[in-house]
Amino acid sequence: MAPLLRKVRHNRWYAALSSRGQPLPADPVGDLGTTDNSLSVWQVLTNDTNLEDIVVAIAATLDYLTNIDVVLVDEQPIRHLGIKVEPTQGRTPLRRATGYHRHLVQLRAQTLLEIAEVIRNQGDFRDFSEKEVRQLLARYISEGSLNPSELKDRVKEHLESRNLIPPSPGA
Amino acid sequence: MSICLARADAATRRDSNVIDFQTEHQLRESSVSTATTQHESLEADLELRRTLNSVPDELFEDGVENELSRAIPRLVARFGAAAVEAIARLYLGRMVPRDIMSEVLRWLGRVEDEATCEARFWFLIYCLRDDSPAVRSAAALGLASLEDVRAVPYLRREAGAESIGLLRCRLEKVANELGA
Repeated sequence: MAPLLRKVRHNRWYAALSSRGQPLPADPVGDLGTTDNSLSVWQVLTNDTNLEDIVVAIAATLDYLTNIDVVLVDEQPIRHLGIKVEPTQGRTPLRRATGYHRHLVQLRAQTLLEIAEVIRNQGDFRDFSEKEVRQLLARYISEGSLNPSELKDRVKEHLESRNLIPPSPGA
Repeated sequence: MSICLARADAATRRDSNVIDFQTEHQLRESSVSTATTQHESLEADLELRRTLNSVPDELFEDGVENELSRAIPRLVARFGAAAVEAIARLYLGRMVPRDIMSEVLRWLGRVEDEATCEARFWFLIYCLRDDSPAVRSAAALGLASLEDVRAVPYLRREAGAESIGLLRCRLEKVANELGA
């Protein structure tokens, strides 16, 4: 089964990863914020073929350009917790990535702790640096996959200041 | 007023030799070159404290605007080195929760202000040895944003001493990117 990806902040997991086998610290729960008892995740395809799409999909929604920390975890142990994984349209300017979005639905508070434990024990933590995110965005824009006008102003200004995209009309 | 990082309380650090002589010397040099008046310093202190007191009890998320992401660039633009010194004083006094200080450090690296580059650079280097892994991580990310190749040996040294694997990877990655 393909892994699920969740955007996280690695620093929230340092203590948890250093204390496997002990009670879970509280900070990781901060990375599992739900809306309507659902948790937003992305489905990564075999061999990570859509991983860059997902990172760009996330980056394209941000207020400013930054590094992106993520964790990948297999879908199977998540389903073993009795959690339903439902496809939902991702809200991102990168149209081709919207179909990769999923929701873990009907979650209970206790289930979040179990998800955090699965992540702590089996998660594949990865990070995309600010430089990598910048290069990815620039490439997707130059390829025509992403329309810069749909990015937030601060992201556009960052890319423009480095001559990675042409100045916005009227700028 | 100088940054005065030499007054750091070693007992609050991971070990008593947290800053090598070179770093401390550089900190002093950078603060001398950006000396500020006492009035500016006081103003910056007050404004920074007002800002930090107004930060809501919120979770910071990468890429999501928050009170600090707006305030830190504004403070540095207004007060220059005095703002960096005020942040350093609060840091050394441990008067700010580490999660908030981490966010401040990330934004110190992002600020576009040539005049305070030296002070910000050496302060971030100093924070690489904080006892909080979140602060160490934020200092590394701040240095990544500053894009100053001089950080590479410090990052490599700290990576070698880092006990948390995930954080060690971050330090190495930033060092590799800056050194490339």
